Amino acid sequence: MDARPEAIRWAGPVRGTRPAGGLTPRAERAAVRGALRGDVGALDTLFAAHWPAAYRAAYLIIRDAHAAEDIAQEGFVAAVRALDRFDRSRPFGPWLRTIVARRAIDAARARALRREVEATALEHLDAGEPSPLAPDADLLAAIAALPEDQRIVVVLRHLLELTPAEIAALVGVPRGTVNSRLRRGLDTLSREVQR
Amino acid sequence: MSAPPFDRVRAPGEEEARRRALAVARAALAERPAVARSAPDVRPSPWRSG
Repeated sequence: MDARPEAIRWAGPVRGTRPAGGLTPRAERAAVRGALRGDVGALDTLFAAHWPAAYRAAYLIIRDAHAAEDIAQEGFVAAVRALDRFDRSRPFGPWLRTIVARRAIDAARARALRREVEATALEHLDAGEPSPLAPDADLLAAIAALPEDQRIVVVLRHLLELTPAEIAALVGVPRGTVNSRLRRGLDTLSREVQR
Repeated sequence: MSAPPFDRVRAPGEEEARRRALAVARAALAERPAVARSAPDVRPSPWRSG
């Protein structure tokens, strides 16, 4: 896992003013300033706003809870350690999400190279693992069942809220390819969820 | 292109992972070097003698 500071850079344009993770831009800036002072409450605020989406996205990309935990946890810790270098005029959420997305994609590619695709992960989901935090297990299973190329762009777009241009840069494909994968993935999900 | 309700998705193991990750993040914050924090200016006071 690449934890070099130079690998943790802002990788996209400033997004709109829509609150990310339930935080307004102003509240998020205040939380970043607080965390820089060592304020645990401020850190908790950033964590509550951004870690859940990071974990869910990592899980859906890699389809392994332990790996997803490592990716989301290490991504957040890397962000905390790099706070001093963080450009505070930028929103924190997209910065963190880009870190996590890059790590999850790298991990997925490494697994593919090692031919360690976890067939059991889908069986696990299809079996309907009891979870009090799974209000939409059908949707989770449907996302996890998408082909990897579609799954990654759908997760990056709709869980991590990256733009198609940001996804294209991360995945290394043209933006048009991102859009077509998104369209196919969402079409499949719509069919599966409506069943 | 309509999207399913992604905000309803919860991943297996999320709650336990969240608790562990928060503890690790707090530890990482505590470990940050004091000089790196945006602390108030602590340069020597002009009133300090010696």
